Amino acid sequence: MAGEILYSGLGDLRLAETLSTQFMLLLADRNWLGNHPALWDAGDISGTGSTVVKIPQIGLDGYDAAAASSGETGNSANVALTDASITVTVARQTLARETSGLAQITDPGFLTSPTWVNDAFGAMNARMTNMVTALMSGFASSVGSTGVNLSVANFLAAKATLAANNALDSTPLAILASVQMADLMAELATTSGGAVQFLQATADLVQARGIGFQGQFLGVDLFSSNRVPTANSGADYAGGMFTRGAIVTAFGTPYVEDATQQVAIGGRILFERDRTARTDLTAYVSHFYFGAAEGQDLRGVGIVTDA
Amino acid sequence: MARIKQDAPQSAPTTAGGVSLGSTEAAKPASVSTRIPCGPFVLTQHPQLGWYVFEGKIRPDLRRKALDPGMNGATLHSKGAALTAFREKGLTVLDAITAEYLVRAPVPGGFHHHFRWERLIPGTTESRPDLAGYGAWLDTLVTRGHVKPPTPDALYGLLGRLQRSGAPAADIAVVDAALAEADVATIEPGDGVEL
Repeated sequence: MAGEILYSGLGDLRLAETLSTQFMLLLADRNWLGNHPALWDAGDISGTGSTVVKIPQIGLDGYDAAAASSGETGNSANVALTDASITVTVARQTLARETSGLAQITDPGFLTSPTWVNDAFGAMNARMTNMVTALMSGFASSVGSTGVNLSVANFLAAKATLAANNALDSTPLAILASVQMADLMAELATTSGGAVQFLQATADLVQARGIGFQGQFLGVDLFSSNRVPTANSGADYAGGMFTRGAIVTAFGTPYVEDATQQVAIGGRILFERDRTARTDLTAYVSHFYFGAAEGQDLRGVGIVTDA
Repeated sequence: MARIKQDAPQSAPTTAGGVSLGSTEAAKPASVSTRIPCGPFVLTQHPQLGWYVFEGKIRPDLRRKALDPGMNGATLHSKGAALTAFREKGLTVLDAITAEYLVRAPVPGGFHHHFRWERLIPGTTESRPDLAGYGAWLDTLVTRGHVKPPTPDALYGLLGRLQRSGAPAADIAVVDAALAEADVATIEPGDGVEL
C-alpha cells in the first residue's frame, strides 16, 4: 500500500509541539505569614518625615512592683521610670520583569499585566517571609543541638525559655524549616503516643493565617517555610519561636501619581508599566516599602536543629 | 517524505533579566546552587548566652544578624546604625572580620551569602558543611581575643539550658567537666542582714 496520510508525513501541516494553555509553576516556597499577630506592625512611615520608626518601651503596669511602706508616716521614695526603644527602618524592595513586543504578540495570554500583578504579590510575600525568617537566626537564646533532629523536648524547651523571659503573654509563633517540621511530626507520631495533641490546620485557618500554617501544637502556632536560613555552616536550620514584639515591621504606602500606568496593589505594592518605545520593551516594575527588625530579643528563641 | 520540523523556537533577544523564551528551567546552568538569594549578615555573640557545645567542645555560639536594606536598621548606604544598635545591646559584633566567614555565591535571582565553611552543591539547594573547619575557627575567636572566654556563670547557664532541652548526655558532660575545672566556689557572699 502507498499514499497513506500519516502524521509523520504531514510536516507542513502539523507542529512539533503546541503550547498548552495551562502552565505549571516552578517549585518554590510560596508559604507566607500573612498578618500573624506575633508580628508587631509599627505602621506606616508615609508623611512622617523619616524612614525610621522608633517604638518606645516603657516599664509600666507591673514592671515595678509597689513596695511596703518604711513606716506609718514613712516617705515614699520615687521609683524611676524605666524606658528603652527599638527602631525599624523601611527600605524599598523591588521586582522588575521586562518583555519584548514580539514575545507578547506570540504569547497565548501568559505575559500580560494580570500575570505580573500576581507575580508582584507573590514576590512581596516571598521577600517578607525571607526577611522575617532571617531575623530568627539573630535571637540570643536558642535550643537544640547541632546535628540532632528537632524533638518535642526541644520544642518544650523553647516555650519554657519564653516563659522564663516573661514573654509568653501572647500566642507564640514557631517558624520551622520543613525538615524540622517533619522531625517534630515524626517524633509526635512515633514516640509521644498521642499524649500531646497536635491541632491540624483547617482550610479556614490557613486562609486566615496564611499559606504555610500547619496547625497548633501546645498552644503554639506552627508555620513551615523553606526560607528558614541555615546555621552552623549549614549543618542545621535556624528556625525559631517568638511572641508579639520579638520582630517588628513597618511599611510605607506607595504614592500613585499616574493612574494610567500605576496602581497600588492592596495599598502596599506600587505596580507600574514602563514602555521603552525605541526597543519595544515593556517593563512591569513593582516596589514595596518594608522594613523588619529584631524587637525585644528575649521574646524570641532560636530552634537550631539538624538540617 | 517530509518530516516534522524539529527546529527549536528562536529565542527572543532581551536585556539582562528580561523574559527570554529560551530561558527554561532546564537550561539553567547546573554549575550554581539553586538556593534563594540571601543578603549579607554579620555574626554576633552574646557574652552570657552565646555558648554551646559544638563538635564536643564548648565554643562561641554565634548569631547571624541580617543586614539587607530594610533589615535591623540597615539601609542601602549604611549599616553603621545597625552595628551600633547591636553593641548597645551588649553583643560582641564580629564586623571587623567578615571576610573570614562571609562569602557569597551566585544563585538564580542574585547572590546567596553564607558561611565560608558551607559548600553549596550545584544544581540543588543542599550544602555540605565543614564542621571541623568551622569549629577550629570558632576556637580562634577566643584565642585571638575577638570573643572573651566563657565565665563560670555563662557555663552554669549553658548547663541548665542543655539539661532542660534534653541535650545529648555527652554535651552535658563536657559542660560539667568545664564547670568542675572553673572556680565556681568564688561566689562572693554579700553582707549579712540582721532582722
